[in-house]
Amino acid sequence: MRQLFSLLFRLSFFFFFSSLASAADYHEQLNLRPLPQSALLASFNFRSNISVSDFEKGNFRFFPRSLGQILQHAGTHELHLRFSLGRWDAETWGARPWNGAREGGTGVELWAWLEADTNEEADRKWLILTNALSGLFCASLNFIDSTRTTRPVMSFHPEGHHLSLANTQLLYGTLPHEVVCTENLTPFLKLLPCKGKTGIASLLDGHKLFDSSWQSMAIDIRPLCRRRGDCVLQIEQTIDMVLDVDRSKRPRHNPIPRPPPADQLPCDTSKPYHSHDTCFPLDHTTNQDWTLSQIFGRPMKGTCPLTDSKVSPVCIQIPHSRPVYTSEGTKEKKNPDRISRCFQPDPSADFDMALAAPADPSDPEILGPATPLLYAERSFTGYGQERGGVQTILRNPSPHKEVEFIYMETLPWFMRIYLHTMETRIAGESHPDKSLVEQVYYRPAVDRARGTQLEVRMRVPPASTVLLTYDFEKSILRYTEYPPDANRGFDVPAAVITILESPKGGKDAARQAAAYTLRTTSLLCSLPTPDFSMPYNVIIFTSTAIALAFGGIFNMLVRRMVAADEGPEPGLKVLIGKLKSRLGGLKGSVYKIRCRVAEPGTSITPPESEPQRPASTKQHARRGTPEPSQPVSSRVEHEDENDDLSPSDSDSDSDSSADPSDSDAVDFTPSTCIFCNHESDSLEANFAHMHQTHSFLIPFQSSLAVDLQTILWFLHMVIFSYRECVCCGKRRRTVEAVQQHMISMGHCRFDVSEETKVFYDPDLLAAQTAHTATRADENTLRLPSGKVLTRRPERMGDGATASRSSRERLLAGPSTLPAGDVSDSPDANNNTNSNPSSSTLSSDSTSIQALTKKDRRTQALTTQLSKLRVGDQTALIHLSAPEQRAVLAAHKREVDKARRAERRQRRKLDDVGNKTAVHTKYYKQEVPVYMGG
Amino acid sequence: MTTQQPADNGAAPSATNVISTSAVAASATRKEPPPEKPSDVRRRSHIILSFWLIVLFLGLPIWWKTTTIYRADLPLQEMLDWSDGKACRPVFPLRISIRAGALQEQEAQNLLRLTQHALDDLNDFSGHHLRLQLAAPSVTESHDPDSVLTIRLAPGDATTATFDPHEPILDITYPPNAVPSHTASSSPLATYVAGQLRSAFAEEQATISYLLSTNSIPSDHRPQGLAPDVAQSLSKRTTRSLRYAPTYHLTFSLFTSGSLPSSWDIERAIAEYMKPVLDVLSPIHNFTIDTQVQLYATPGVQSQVLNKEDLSSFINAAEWPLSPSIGGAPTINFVIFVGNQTIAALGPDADPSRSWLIPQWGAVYLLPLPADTAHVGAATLKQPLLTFTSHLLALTGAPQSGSLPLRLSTLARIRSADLLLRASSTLGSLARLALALPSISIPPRVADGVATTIAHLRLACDSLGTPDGLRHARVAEAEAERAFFEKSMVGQLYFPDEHKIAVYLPLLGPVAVPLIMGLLNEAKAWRRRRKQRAEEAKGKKSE
Amino acid sequence: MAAAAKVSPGRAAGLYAAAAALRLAVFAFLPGLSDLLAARVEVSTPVTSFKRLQEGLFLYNHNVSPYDGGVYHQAPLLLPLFSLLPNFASLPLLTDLVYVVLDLLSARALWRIADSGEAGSSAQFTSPRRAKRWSGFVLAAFFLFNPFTLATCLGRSTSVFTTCAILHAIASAVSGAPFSAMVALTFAGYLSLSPLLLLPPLILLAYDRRRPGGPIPQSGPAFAAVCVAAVAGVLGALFLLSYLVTGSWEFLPSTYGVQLTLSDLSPNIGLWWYFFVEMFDSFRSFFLAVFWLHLSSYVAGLTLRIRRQPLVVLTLLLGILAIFKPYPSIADTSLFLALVPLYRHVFPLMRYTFLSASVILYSAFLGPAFYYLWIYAGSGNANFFYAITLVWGLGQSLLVCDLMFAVLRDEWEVERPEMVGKEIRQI
Repeated sequence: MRQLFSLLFRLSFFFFFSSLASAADYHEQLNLRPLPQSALLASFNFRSNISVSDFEKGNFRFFPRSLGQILQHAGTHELHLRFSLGRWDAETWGARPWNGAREGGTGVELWAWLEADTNEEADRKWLILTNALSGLFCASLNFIDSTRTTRPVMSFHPEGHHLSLANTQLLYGTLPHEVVCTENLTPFLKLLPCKGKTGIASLLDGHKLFDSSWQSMAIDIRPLCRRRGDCVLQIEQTIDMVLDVDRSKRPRHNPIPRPPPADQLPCDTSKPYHSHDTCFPLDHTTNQDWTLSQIFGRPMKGTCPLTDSKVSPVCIQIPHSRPVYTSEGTKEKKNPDRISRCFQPDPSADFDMALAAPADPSDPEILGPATPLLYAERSFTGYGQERGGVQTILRNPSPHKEVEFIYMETLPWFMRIYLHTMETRIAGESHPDKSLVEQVYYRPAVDRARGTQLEVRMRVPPASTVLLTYDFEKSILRYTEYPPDANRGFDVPAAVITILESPKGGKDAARQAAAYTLRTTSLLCSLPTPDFSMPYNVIIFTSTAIALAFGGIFNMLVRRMVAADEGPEPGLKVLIGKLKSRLGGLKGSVYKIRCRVAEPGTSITPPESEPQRPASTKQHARRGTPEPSQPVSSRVEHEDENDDLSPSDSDSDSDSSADPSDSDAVDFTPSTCIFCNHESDSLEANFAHMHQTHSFLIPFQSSLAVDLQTILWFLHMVIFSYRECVCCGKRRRTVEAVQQHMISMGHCRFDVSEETKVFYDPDLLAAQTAHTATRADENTLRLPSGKVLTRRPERMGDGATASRSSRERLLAGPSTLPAGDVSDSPDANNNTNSNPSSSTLSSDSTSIQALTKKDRRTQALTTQLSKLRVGDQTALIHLSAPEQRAVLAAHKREVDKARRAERRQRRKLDDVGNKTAVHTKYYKQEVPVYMGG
Repeated sequence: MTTQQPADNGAAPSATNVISTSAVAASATRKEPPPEKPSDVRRRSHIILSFWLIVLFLGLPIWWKTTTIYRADLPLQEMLDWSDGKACRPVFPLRISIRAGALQEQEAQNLLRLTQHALDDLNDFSGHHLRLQLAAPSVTESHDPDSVLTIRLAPGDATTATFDPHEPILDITYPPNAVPSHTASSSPLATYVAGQLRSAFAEEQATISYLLSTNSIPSDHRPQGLAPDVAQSLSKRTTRSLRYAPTYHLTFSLFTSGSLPSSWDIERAIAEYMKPVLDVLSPIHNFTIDTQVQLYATPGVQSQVLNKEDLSSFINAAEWPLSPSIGGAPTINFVIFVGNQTIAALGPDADPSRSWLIPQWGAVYLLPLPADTAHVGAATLKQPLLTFTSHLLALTGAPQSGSLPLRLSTLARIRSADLLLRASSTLGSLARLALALPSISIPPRVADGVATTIAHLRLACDSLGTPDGLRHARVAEAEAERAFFEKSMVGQLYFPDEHKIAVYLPLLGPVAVPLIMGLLNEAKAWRRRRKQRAEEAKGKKSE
Repeated sequence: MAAAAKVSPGRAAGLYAAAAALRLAVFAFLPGLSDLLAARVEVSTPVTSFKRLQEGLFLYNHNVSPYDGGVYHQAPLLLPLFSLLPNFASLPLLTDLVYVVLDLLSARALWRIADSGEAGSSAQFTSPRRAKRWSGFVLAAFFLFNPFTLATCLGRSTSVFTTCAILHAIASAVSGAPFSAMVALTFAGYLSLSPLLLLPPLILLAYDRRRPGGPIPQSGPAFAAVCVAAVAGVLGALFLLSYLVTGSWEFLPSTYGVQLTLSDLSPNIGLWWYFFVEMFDSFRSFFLAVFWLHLSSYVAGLTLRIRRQPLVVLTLLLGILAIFKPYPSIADTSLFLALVPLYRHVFPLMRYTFLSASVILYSAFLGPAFYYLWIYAGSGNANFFYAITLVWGLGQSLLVCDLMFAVLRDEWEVERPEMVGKEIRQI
């Protein structure tokens, strides 16, 4: 029985084939076929011919001109175009209409035989064809590019009669992503001669068509020849749709499905627990009573007058036992096969037909579905976005007939399939069965250029199921290659299965006509996606990683290794040093101003500070109008006070804390060790002690110019009054700390340096200066404290500026005293010269302007001498410089004491006064002036 | 340190003071590193050199090659000259031969001279002037090809002028007494001939001068005065006619609102009524033809009487399959609509016409037929096709007056001038485009196109008014269009510079800094070394 | 050689036997593990994956050109080699044996390198610390039981061939066989392009260790010229052979072109893939060139700077390759890590040992986890794995820099012995 139906389909199909040559140039037919579960298959078929001569001359009558032009332009011999939607449920509905010859996979499918000698020419024409068709059918066929185009070898066979296919090429493209909808139907209808105004085409309504559970629109153009030379070009337009009767019968006024009231609920009476009060609802009413206008929303408007009168427009396939009521004027013609009947409606009147329930309930309501030759399902295996597998289940229902077919896959290039993992296995058996595959044609994908094409010619033994599986890998794309909805996934076109006419056919599959064609559903493949918002971030991060490695290696390649304390300063410290010394320049000039104010006329500026005069004037200029000296001095003092309290200054308070300690530690006894205060009985014993315990030793004693005691006194002064390490110049708050430092660090050394040269012979001196002159900057003189002394302008680039600046503060503080006197008692500086203490003091204050030990020393000598009375100068003149220094040191110590006492009380005062001023803007502005050295 | 320092201090005194003191001094402060071995110095410079060699000799060329946009150099100035009309001065010398068999040589010459004078007096457009010449009496055939028009002077009883319908020949008869004497400074006959000629070529002259004036041709060789009404009618005609194409695609469509008639004998009708004109036009245009029958076609307006504004919307573009041909040739649609609609009379006295012309698209003809005609015969199609023929001439832009051959030769000249100007302006806009968008790429194909365009323009300009002038102009225009609409030029995406910085900087910046610093330090060190060497050399000299 | 003498042949055999047994046991009893490893992106890249090799082999045996497709990007001569072996699907044992033997050979070569003492005292430089070093036995053990090496071998990545070739090149160069060194290196370069960058230091190494009276001229330039000529010759021969095998030249773009243009963007532990996934098309080619230049720019600099210890240059270059090559895998890292212990004597001079080690471990453990989050769990996105690859690269480059610093300081302290153990800096 079922075989019979499929046979019928095939018969009708080939009947049309043979009937094409009949004079009629156009005919159309609607074939209705009720399917189980209240589904209805309606297949419309329109066919029109044009003689090849007319076609070449361009005289189009029924054949659409717009399509004809495209064919002529693209040199197309045969063309097949499919728009499909939904899935054919073979399990329920059975065999496919037209044996699958008029359907396509989901989306759009196009294959054509193009006249071309070379592949390039074929591609060019293919491009023209796809572009033109996409314009004609409002479908994005122009996206069928090289990656979606394949050249099938075994699967497709020409339907038309071609003299020779020697110089033609078959190209096949598919767009699974395309969504078929109404705007594809409209151009489809415009191709018909009757334009959907009359005839069966008037039933086609976009809403109903795309509401169906499965539909496929097909356009087939093929040349057909009855005799040589007498050829026509035939265009066949087919629309197959499976309508859900219940859904279509749903009334217009409430299209939303609602649960029917209990009394109208269709119950499944077959269920055992069905009773008067329990109802198992049927999801599908099996009864097939409907009217044409219910199904299609409108009656059929007459017939198309152009159609061939011999072919009746409407046919339905139900048992003859079942009555069909039609509108009057309709001629019903029952075919002899007792399962189909056709109707010839009144050409002008509307046509409607109603299918009633069978008169005798025992009669079959509908024809059972015809069994297809093969069932096929395809699905993905595995999970994750890295790799996966494809599994196709092929079931051969016939108990004793082997099915031979060609399985064709066209996969996008980013699915990298591993052919060596492909295996065919009969379900239920453990190990694969190679014998099932007879022939494989495989064209691997090329990235971004070509998709995978896989054609397998295989067979399924009777009544058995075969699993075809293979693995693939998902590749990650450039982020510009992802579609806007990247995470939705990529559609994989349906696999095309072509069952060959004769299972035992020869090897040349290309020559065999297809007996049955079916397509699997299309799949959705999700690829790994990058972060689309990241490009610049990724560029930056990766570049940074690379740059780090490169920088590290490159630096090691080009730099040389030195000890940590060698070579020039690291860049940052150099920078800081520069900054500080620049500020120092300012400060120096401030001192300068003050000196000139403090001792009008009397003060002799030391030669070192000569170059700084312009700086001072510049200072004036910077401060606006050159002010009278008096306010300046007062301002300077004020700043000085601020300076003493500047929070960044550690030494100022260290002094206060250290004052008691060194107020009594200043007196010098030659027999006391300067490092541990160990009392020896003599100077020599002391030196011996120091040499043994502290490995202290005075170099070049042979060439000393002064006696050891002087040197010792000098060191004593450095340690006890300046609380500074004799070797590295580190400064501590208390003398004990300094000694502790020196002992622990082993700094109990005495190095020959610029300023200690004075203790040595001039020739040695000369030698040393000669030596130092060769150094890069001969202005630079070093103290043991690592301070670099240079003349002002070049005084830059050394690390210990901080300590020196603090030293200056310490020295500068007292110097404000005389100026202060001046400010409140003008006569005080008139008798400066008469008052030795104040004069030395003030002169000392002048000398102290020289910012560091060394020039303070040398300058002290000259200025102090100059300050003394002529008599005293002469009295001292005979002494050697160190001895003069020793004498003057006595003054100095008292001066220091007085000065400290004085500064202490002023600080107490200012602490009260400046508590708030600390945060005032003015204060902050002025601080930097004193920070530098 | 504590251990070794005293040791070398102790050792120091015996040693020379310089060394020891320097060591001692250094121990207190930043030491000078020991002088670097020259081998190390050389090695470092080699390393830096190696990196820089890679950067310079591989990096920079690759950067250049991979990131620059190819811009073929175009003769911009020349192109602009063309578009400004500086490069070519369109001149149409038209030679008109006079055959006066009845006159003696002497009289003919005299008449010729007088007519020429009359013409020159009438003519006001330097670019377009007529030159008369006597046809060699030996020439027997009626019309010699290299002259535009031949005037046959024949004695008659009155002065009449008639155009030969098939050849560019003007027959003029004159009364015997009209022949001017030698001494006559003017002659009515001459003035008459001149007037005839002028009226014959007036339209062509006007059209060409209009074309020139619409394009940016410097005014020196532009016609002085173009009457505004003339200009307006000309502009209407030019807008109505299709732009020139070597091939036109003619589509004849039969539309009916019902199912009948469903066939027509269009093939024979075309062969009979339209082919001759197409053949005559063939030196200027080729034509491809297709036909179709469309049933159940409802027009855009349903009203029985169509008035002026309905005509434009009569064509139901949404439903009627009148898609232009995909071959690239512009399509001219000729639609015959079977229906008995009538067109409202445009004027009070004008008879209601059945057809109208849709500018640059085609023409529609309303054909009333009895309801049951299934087949439309060729005879029925005669009137529509003749109408279409005239419409076709209008659509191709041929002048309306004058005999057909004369109109066609005029059409050729107008077209060549048109093409010439069009190609020039295309060149100009291409040049301006290239100047305006420095980031657009100019592939070599464009340069070739421009070169050929200019070459052919030159040829066309030299041979204006002759058939190969038209041919060259045609090639030039096609090339110019191709060059202008080059895909890869349009496809060039624009990447702003600040983004380029954001792409380059993260990698190249950090990598370049150490490279450059290394190079600078190396250069500094090298200079110092050289100075030292110089000083040493000086020191040696001084010793 | 003293170290070598210490190790009795028995112990050596035991070591090898243990390593082989371990591998074979996993192959035999835990086939799932080796398959899992073969599928990991850390182990098998597009240019070393064993699955792709099988695919290529399948196509090759079925007369489809394996290079006319986007799957197989490996050297052609692997095809006949593996087609000689019995079919993997049916009889995997022999294939596994090949891999095990290759690992053992690599270990043997490493042993020879270690025992030559080249690391401690080269021809032009002798480290004062050279006494403190590990014997070849230890190094071989380090290599054989390094988890990375194990994973590579179990994953059947074809980079095992490259590793073996490189190690043999170094070994024979050390043992004064320049020609075989060049041949081995050429094989490595033929299998995976980038080892060709090792040519200059290898030539220097061979030159330093050349035996007087060898066949190759003694003068430097001539020696180098002969070596280069040898490499070119062998390479040409290999290409010709592959041409004969595949019957067309299309293996060149498909094998080496893929490495040059990175057309396959599959994730790996390198820095390239995500960069070029996100890179704008108009700059793609430029940055490809920049990355390759960056990779090759180190060769000259390192060779010049550490001319006195060519083996160090080789080690560092291998480290750099393992970070910056287009398709790096842990196989390259394992090779680098196998050579690092040669410099046991400078370990005390390294500064960031702990940091780099912990960073490498961190990324080694977190990488797979984040990859899982991205690809399978879907709870993370690509940036997770990308960040880990960044960390991995940084850790390795830290190790490379550190080793380089240590070696340089070692050299430097020979010049200035008083600086031993001092604070130093670079100017």
